[in-house]
Amino acid sequence: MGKDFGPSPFFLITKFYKQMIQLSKGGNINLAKEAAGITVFRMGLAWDANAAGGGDFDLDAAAIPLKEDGKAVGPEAICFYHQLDWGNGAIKHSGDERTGAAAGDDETITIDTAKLPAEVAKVVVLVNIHDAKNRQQNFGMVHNAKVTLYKGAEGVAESDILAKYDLEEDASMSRCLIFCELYKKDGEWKFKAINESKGSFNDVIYRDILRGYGLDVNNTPAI
Amino acid sequence: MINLSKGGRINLSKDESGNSLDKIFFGSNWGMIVERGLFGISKSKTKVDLDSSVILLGEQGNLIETVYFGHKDEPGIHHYGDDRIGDANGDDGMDNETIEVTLSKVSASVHHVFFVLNIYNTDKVQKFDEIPYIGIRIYTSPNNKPKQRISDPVDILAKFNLNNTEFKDKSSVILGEAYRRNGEWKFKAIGDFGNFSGYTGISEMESYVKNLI
Repeated sequence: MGKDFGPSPFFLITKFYKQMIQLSKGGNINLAKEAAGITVFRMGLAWDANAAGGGDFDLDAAAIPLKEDGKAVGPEAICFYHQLDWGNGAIKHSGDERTGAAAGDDETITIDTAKLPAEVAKVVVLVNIHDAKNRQQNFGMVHNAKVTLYKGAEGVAESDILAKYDLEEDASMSRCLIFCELYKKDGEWKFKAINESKGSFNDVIYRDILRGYGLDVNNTPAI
Repeated sequence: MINLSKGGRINLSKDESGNSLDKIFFGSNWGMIVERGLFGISKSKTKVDLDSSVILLGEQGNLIETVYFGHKDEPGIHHYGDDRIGDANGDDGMDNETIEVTLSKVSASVHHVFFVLNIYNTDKVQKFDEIPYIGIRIYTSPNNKPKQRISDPVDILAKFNLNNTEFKDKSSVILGEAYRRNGEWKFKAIGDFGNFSGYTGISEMESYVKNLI
């Protein structure tokens, strides 16, 4: 569409591979190297959740800035559906998408590493199934979960994509997964593909997961 | 504090088995303040007067009526009585106050039913954290009868335990709201803490809850 793809198909392929990295579980990329000079990174989180027996799925993404010791940097340090902007633009959330029916990314988390307080060593991005026990839903019922890492806050073109990560479906009883994280190593920010379960849908409630990070969460409701 | 409640999720018209949930109960349980002296012998007991109330608003947020200790009955709503003391000898496992809401009998003009609780001002008790324990439950009951005993099986819509430093310096809470939507009743937990205390606090909450609809 009027776009210059370069002199030959071979060039196109090399260019494509150079820009977009397919990560597998545990894999990471060095953002200082792959996206030099860029501080704003966007994680597009997507899933397909259509229950066979009807009933809506409501998945919620959240990003928690952590200190070196693994605890949140403050009692309310979380970017989620009730706090779409944390740290004056350091972490932004696109808002709650309640059915999983949207095309493309369901929810996005945007992080500006330049605005993160210096004590932030890591930002974990997790996705929770809202009301999982009551609705008897778990990640085994969620398909095609994936993360797309973009540079910048807006662009969705192929050239804006730094990496993609398809979560394998090996956490079937989980109600909450860490999808990925941004972490700082030797002063450089890196992105890591994770897929780590935070507990079973029948036994664990979301507020306890969040309290595990040292967050101050109210007592109601037990979801 | 982070609030995870999204609200608007519980449909009261039918439970998972398709049964109609017609009654909501609002129970509160609390204890007197007991100061112990030498050898654990109780030195003094201070009465604790908490008041549970239900504020009824019309579709546009207009105040219709409030059911509280001084006005115990409205169509579909009954306040079982004012407790001005609290459990005297530790938690007796019973609710001190109960309000019953029969949704099908609530006046057609009522669209919002707010469940609130506050401290009736006395010289001695001013804030929630001074009280040894406060347990509040909003629940539906299997046989549609109120369950004063905390251990009786009920389906909790919202539960609050206020005997906790999180609620220090607070003396009122708007716990939740039942509301009509497309001919059905729904419930959402709110948990909005404030300092609307005493009898005047109830009328202040009547104005305040209009902002929550």
